Amino acid sequence: MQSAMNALNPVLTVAEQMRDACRAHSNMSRAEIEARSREVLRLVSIDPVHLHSYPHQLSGGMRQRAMIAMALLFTPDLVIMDEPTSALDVVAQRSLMVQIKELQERLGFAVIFVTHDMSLVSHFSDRLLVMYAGQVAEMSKTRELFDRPLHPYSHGLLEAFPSIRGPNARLAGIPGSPPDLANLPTGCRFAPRCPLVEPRCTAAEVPLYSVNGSLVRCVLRENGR
Amino acid sequence: MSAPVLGTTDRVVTPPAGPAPMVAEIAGGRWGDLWRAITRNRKAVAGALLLLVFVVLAIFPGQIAPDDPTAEIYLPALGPSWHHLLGTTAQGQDIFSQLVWGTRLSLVIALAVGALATALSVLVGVSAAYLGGIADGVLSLITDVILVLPIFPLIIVIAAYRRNSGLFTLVVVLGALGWSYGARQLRSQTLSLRTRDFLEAARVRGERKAYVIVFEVLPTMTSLIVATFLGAALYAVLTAAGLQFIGLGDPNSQSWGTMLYWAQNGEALFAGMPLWAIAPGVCIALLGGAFALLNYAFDEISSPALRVRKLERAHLPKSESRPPGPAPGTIAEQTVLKVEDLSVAYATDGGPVIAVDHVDFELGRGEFLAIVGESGCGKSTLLYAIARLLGSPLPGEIIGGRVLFQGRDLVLLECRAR
Repeated sequence: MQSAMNALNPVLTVAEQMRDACRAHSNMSRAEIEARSREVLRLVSIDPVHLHSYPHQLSGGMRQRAMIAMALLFTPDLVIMDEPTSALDVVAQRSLMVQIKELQERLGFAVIFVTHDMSLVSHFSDRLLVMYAGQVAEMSKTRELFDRPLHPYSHGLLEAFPSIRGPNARLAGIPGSPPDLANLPTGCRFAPRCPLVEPRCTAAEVPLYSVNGSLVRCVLRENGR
Repeated sequence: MSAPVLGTTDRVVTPPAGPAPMVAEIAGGRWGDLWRAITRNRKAVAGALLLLVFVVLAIFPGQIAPDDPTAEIYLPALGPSWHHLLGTTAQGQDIFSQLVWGTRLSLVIALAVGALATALSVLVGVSAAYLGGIADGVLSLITDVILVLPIFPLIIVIAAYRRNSGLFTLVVVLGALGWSYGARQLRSQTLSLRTRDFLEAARVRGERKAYVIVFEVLPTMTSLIVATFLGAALYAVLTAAGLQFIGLGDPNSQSWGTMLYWAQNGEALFAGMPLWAIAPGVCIALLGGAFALLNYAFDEISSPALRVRKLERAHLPKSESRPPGPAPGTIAEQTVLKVEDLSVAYATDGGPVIAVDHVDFELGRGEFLAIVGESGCGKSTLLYAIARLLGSPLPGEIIGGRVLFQGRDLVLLECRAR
């Protein structure tokens, strides 16, 4: 749900769309569906009066939360979110994240959260999985990855956004652009853009190395450090 | 206006809604690509070859047919032989010659009516939508009236009124009555384009309406206009043949419909000359088929989403066989989701592209896992694969690995459901 505007049907009210979902997956009665819909809307702090609103009457953040509410109708064990904050401003992003985290702690579901904004998830996620060109580049505990990124790509990503409290350092982006998946470089896929590239990087495919419980695909971590 | 989209949203590149923008892209000087797309599309090749054969017949009938089609110089009702490939008519004319000479008129009617009807539908449909207001009301009213008229009886009445007045009347009548369907489509398409940003920009620049319609709106609708043309040509072939068959064309002209008319008059089927009726019928069907095939092919070429691509598994790199993981049942209770060695590929014109390459991870109960990376690194594809949503809008395919959700393999579920 990268854009909630497109995910919600513009000509049906929120209640009707929730009813559709309930009908498709269970045989709840009309009253039960109504009660459950109210309950999940309250969970994401939307006033249940909006059950009878159309998507265009809701703000961007509310639409996003309505989508999440819809996902919660059946108390899932796993919620998958694809850039749910991409169309929101930073304030709405923040409140949405806080809400997701709260709900997660309360209802105990697991979350997979896809984003390109590392700073967004820094305080919320338990683990981070950094992908590059279709492969896992690094998988670590979030805290550890922020303190000590193992892969040069993770390092580059961390350098690419400003720290709020730290000194005003110049931001370093990652030069170049991702490789064409139809025409991959040999060896490490990140090698053409890597600041620490060595001859052996391009020699062979790099496996995932295990370093203190983290996984990283970089020859520099070969001996587990 | 649509919702604001921040510059860096990680949207997977999908073809824009509607066939229009793709055509603009193709038309923009990439003739080589267009040529390759056509030659690779079997429908396009078949349709084009068929049409080419008929065009050659129409241009050089004298070189191909041995006889004057009207000369009644042979014995009547001969069967097919080397001398008369399809036999002769009850009047002693060579059927093959008639067929070849008849191509010209049938093809001219098809192309002329197609062009006329398309021009009218573009003119009416696009102006109605773009001008709006009263102009739209009037033009739409005319379109709707013609749309609900029972066309064929009306054409019979008109053609009968101007009986035997030849090609010109036939083309004008068919063209003037056959444009309404296309006009409706073009109007709707223009309406949906009207509020797009690039047209707003043209308005703000102060371009004249005629300029906007011709240079901004029309190029984005090339595929629809071509489809309208091919559809109108198909309609013309069939309707003209129908009219001529019931004797409302010029019975002395040479066309397939007229042949059918004379075959019917001469009771060809009872008199043992089935080819007299069958041959022109087959030609009409083939010409109509050629237009229909080109129509489909053009749709597919201009809107790649319609094209069916098959993943060429043979071209995939051999994946090293890994020892199989634990059986689904033995996974720890605390694990909600386990992704094992998951690979996803997209079929493209240039062979398969692997978008997710041997990804493994586990997710515990209540855990929060963030997946980060640049646009296009496979994040969304990975999620779609896990949620079994691949297919649309992302046309990828899982080519290896397992997704275990609470011990159940979602990839296998998917296979079984198919």
